[in-house]
Amino acid sequence: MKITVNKSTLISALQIITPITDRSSSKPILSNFLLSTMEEGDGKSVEFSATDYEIAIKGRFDAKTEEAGTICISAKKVLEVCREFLADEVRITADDQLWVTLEGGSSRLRLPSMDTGLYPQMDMADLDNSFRIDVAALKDAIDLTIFATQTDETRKNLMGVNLRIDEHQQSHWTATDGHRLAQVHKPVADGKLESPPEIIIPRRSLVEMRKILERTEGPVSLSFDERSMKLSTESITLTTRLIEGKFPNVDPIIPKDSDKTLEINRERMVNALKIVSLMSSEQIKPVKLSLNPGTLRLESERAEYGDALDEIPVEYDGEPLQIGFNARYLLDVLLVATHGDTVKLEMKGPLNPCLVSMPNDPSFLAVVMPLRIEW
Amino acid sequence: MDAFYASVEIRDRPDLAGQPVVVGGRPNSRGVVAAASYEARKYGIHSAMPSARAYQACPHAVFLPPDFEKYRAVSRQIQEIFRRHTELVEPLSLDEAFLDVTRHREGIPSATWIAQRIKREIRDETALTASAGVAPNKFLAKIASDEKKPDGLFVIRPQDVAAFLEHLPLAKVPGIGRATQEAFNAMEVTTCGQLQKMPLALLTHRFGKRGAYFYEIARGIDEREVKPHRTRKSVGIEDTFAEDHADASWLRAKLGQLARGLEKRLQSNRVKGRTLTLKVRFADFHTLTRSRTLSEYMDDRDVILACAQDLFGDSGAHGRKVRLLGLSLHNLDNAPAEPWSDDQLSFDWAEEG
Repeated sequence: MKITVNKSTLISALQIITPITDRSSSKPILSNFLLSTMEEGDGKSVEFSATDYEIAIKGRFDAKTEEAGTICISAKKVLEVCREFLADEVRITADDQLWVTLEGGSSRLRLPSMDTGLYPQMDMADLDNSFRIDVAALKDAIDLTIFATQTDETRKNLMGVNLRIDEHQQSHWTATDGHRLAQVHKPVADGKLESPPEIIIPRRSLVEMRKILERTEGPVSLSFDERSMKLSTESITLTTRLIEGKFPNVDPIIPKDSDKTLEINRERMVNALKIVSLMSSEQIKPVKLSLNPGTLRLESERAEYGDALDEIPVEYDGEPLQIGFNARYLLDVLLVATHGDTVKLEMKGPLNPCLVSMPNDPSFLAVVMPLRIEW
Repeated sequence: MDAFYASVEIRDRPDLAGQPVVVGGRPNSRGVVAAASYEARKYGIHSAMPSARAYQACPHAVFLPPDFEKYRAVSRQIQEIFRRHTELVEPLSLDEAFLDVTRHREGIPSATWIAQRIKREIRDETALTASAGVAPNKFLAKIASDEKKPDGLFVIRPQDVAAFLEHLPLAKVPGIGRATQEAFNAMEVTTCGQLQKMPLALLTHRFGKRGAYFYEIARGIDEREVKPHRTRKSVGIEDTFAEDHADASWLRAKLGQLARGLEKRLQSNRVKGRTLTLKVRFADFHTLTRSRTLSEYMDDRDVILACAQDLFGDSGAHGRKVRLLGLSLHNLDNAPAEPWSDDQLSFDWAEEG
């Protein structure tokens, strides 16, 4: 193989695949990625791909091809080398002894590569159910839910975001860790849906998808079956295994009888939570909320350390309420609920869930369970 | 250890006994004294003093170059003695360490007994003497250890702390150097008893964060834990059998033993962990591991065993000859962890799963 590629394009591709390559120490072959010249078309592009058996990523970019071929080489090493090259272009040459030469300007490195036949096969075929979705909507759906996924392994079915497509071409995204819940719906197009009504996408796959979407414009398509899901953008495809299991029915835990409702400036509330949580214990961040006509007061204290207080004027004339929360849980929601200046909080009692929503965007809601705090 | 480097040299050269011995730079060099024997100290020689001045003070002293390899070997010996008594050993230097003996390995209930025993073991095994301080916290223990050198043992019982501090000169307090002492002198404060009368606000205004430290230690308050330098990442136990076993009930009984052993190790290390890993090595040396992470930290043998049995059931080990079983716990609670609290309420359905 003999190709010349733009350095920053190559780096950008490597940044997308290294997260799934460098974690596989048990199988050294998986620290590599494949780089192949494309047979079809005008021969002016190359394809890069990598997998860790859970996630597979395949993409293409432009390159000057002098000699066709495929190499299997350490993604991390190539990335390290390219980052140091001063020149804008990188020339990659492979000989038949598995040596790969990387040249950038006057610099030249020779690296060993692996037999491409040892690398696992990647199946990137389209799956039975499919739909198209706007990039911005998909990014939003991930951002508005991923924070609520469970990060430990107690309940595997909560370690991802639940996706369900309804008959009205709406995609419903839901995540919960048992203490909080986030849910959003987004319109989709060209939905072709057969068997599985819903799937659970692993948190880690969503993180990698999110990085790809950051570099993507225009609509993307998603297809899935019971076991896998595939994201296709113009230049990159990602497939991921899904979490097997049943996602809990969350409808009953979305409170419908809250009688204490207020709208509050989001930035003001974020600021108050940040200030007050500076004085709460390091692990959990207990914060006390006192809602009274006209004001919401936030308080925290940490034994032998100090205390903090902030008051936000609110339009509220209902009954007073004192309720405790983990400040991080509230912040997680408020930091992503950015459609509009205000957020709406609906509460009932100190042991009842709090519903958080955006008056400007009815497609989203979050539920946060309180923290029991001694007053 | 008492006059550590000098004592080691004297031990190894009995002809030096009773002579002033100085370990460190040569007298005609720009070096300094690393250690001085008690004989040498009578001439006013102390560590960190320029060797040339030590020579002026006592020209007939024996000046020896330091042999750090030898001191390190002795250091390892005494560390090993400490660890017979507790895992919670925080070395301060080659010859000094804090030990938390609240829970003693062999259940000796008295810290004073333990100190006596450690002193005896050091003397028997290294032919050197050590001085110990026994007190309710690190700050007081450090001061106590300096009270009765050499070969001393000084105990500050909790009920004696106030009386001890009343007249304790600030010069003896770790962290109060000459400049701080002078600043306190100017305020007519020379003892911890007098320091107790200074309001916290004034101390922090004058000394910042250190002011809060002074405020606490004047009252004998020191919450710092004895921290073994190496933070453990995992605690484990394993057993290679005298002969290979394929019998599931025998292996499960073995898991019970391992769970008990692991519980003991966790408790003596005072850690709990969330991720349990089962290791199974088969007769053909093929090894597999299976892990599970729980939402809560565990150190209880029954919880560990239940989890280990599940992992064993999932391991596909049935009917195969096993030569080794091991259990280890990672994700320990000595590391910053995911926040968790019993007071955090959960959704109703979440409790079931």
